[in-house]
Amino acid sequence: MWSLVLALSLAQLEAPDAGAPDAGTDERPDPSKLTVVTGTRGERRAADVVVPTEVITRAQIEALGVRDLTQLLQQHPGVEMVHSARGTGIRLQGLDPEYVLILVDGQRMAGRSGSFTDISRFSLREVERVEIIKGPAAALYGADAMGGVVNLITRRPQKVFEGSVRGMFGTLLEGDVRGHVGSKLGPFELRAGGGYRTRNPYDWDPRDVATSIAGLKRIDGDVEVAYVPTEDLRIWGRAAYVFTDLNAVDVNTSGAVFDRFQRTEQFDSWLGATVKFNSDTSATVRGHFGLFRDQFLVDQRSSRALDEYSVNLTRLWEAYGQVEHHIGNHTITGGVEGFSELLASSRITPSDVQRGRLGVFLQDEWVLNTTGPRLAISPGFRADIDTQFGWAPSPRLAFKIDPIPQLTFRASWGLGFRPPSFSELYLRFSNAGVGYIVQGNPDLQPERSGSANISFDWRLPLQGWVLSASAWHTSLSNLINVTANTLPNPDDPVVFGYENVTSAYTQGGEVSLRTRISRGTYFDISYMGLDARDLTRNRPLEGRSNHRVNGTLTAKYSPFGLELVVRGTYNSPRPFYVGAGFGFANVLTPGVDDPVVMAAGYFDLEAQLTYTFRSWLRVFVNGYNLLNSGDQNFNPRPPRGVIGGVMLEI
Amino acid sequence: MRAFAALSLLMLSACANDLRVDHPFDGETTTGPLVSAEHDGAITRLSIDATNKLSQVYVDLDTASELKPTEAFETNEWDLALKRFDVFLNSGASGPTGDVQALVLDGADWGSLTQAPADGFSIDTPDRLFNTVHEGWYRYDIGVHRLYARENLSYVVRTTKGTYVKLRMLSYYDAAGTPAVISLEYAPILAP
Repeated sequence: MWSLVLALSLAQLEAPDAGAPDAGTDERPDPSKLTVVTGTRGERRAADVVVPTEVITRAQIEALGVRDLTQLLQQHPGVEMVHSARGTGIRLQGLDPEYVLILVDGQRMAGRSGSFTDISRFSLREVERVEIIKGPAAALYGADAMGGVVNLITRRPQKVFEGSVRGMFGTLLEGDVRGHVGSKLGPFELRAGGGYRTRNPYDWDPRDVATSIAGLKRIDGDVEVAYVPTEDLRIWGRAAYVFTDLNAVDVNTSGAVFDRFQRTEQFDSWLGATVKFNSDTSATVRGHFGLFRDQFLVDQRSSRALDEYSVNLTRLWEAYGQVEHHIGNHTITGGVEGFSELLASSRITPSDVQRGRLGVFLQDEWVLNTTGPRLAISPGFRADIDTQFGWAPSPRLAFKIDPIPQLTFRASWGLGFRPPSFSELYLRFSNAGVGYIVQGNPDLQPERSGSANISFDWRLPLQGWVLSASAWHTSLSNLINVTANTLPNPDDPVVFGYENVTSAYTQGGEVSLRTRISRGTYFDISYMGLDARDLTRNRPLEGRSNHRVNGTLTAKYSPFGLELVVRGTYNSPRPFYVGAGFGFANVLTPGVDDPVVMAAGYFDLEAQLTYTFRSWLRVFVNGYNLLNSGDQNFNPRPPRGVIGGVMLEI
Repeated sequence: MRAFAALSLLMLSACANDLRVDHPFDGETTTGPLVSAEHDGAITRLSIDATNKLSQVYVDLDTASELKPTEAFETNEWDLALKRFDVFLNSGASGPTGDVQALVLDGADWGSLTQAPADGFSIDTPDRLFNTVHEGWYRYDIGVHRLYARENLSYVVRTTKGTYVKLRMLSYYDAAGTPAVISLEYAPILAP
């Protein structure tokens, strides 16, 4: 069997046109014609969905030599990075990473770093496309989707034999090697892959020994098998493992130097089936088991006094079922989703806690008229019942109208919620070095949001030109904030707690223009204006740029096999608050205002040149952070660097 | 599917090493004496490990040594006791059977302080003389949770042996940055 596969593969390699760059690939796909799933939990054409969905394709991922999801999204319009010692999260529409849900094929992943998912864990090796919904998606996905959803859609084999290998090496001794093989043979599909990545730590402030961002070592692998006897049935299973080691050096205020190590392991396995009963009705069932083990070690140099070690284990069980049915102009999707999550940790009291949640959702996509201006309306409702805080409703109402074929208006309104995280509920953490205790609050209630979004897309009378604009307002209430009620002293450290005490809003707009300069040359530009305010303290929310401009130039010239991508982003200055509240910023202390520091605006510039040598062989060089933006405190990102590599794909 | 299940089990069992195996803790656990002394001419510098939150470290300034609690109570030879940032004298509320006395000088020139003042000495107070007079021996920066020894303060202590020493606090942290490993220095001076 495998000799047959090999023979077929060699036959593909030796095809007569091998080596000639494909002149037909200069034109980029029309995003409105791509298939998306995130906004409806079913496959739809992007132009037809009521909730706007942005898509980053596999080709775009490869054109940027992407090493992980952080790098892919750091210059995406309307997306901001939030770096912390525990990883990187993303902000959508001004909402922090804990309000953005990261999914893989529509399912949650086990293990959050604190309150959010570290997106640098995702290598994107196995990802076919990334879908982004900005704005609330709680009516379909429940908790944590107040700011939006990023959904990673994994790839499926398309050939009898396919495979790829990519290796790259660059500044900071960064190395990334990855590969995959796949086969579609009769009713069976098989895909497997793995990767290894390493990068040294780096430092923006050489005056001390502390590093700015940790060094990284990541090993990941996954395998997926599927049985697809007919177009109407697909049964599949997938397992994935990601190992990540981070190493860094910290210095505290008393001059103690610490070697910090963090090791995370993530294992996920899925089993699922999709059945199409007839042209109108289909069903999907899916189960997911996830484990996330997170070790944290802090080793004080030349002493044992402040050494620290902790280990957390998160276990997630998830089951999901969905039925989609077409009746006339209605597409009705209903489903039930349940999960059970367990956290065992030396940092929480009690040392292991468990909670479960059951969600039921129903949505209708109703096309009111198919002739003349096309009008669609989509009401949706989801109710979640949680063992910890009771129930939470998440209704949504969305409209879409195409008054003329070139113009699409969309509007939506929805409610969302974020349950308190395990650490906010049960954490018991004492920082001996600095001298404070953080104490969880088991009586916390979910945070709530209400959000309205409007947008339009105007396909201009120039081929490939699209002008889009959107505006949103999100109000947040019952927000969980750190509070402190006792005066600290050096040895009776202040106890920080969590309470549902603050409210805030974020509002703003995005304008983007997608252009086609000539065949194979495109320029996209977008602007986001943001107003985000803490209403309790009456001040702007921390760390957000009010203005952000993104531009991307793509130039492809097939006769020479060259593709150039240049992208740049300007971020305006951002406010940060520094320690007045018991020495810590953002601790709610009535009558005390934190001093504000404005972090300088910065410009991020990246370029990649790819040379397609043969249809199966590409070499590329990528220069990132070309203007060397960054600093130790507010923008600890990799300094200017270059990385180059080679990719073989059959 | 069987292969998939087997692979899943294999991956489940493929737990990585404990970090403490790959990165053993650096440094030594403190098992030796809690007080170490260095002599520089007439000046004696002490490093006192007062990290234990539950018990005091008893110091005999006359011999520049630590007295274990039993020995301290039996001999009553201790002059100072330290617990974290608290400094106790062997007198008053802190040591009812002792008679150690001290006074605090603000802005005195350390080098020219060669004779103890004639008056102003006091036994320990209920809220501890070292911790309260002239706002105490340290300044606490709440912004960074760090203690700084006040350089303007000097202490004159009359020990259990009746000798007079000038003393000043140097730091709350050792060279590794560990809090509550206190360093101080003192030197004998003439009686009033």
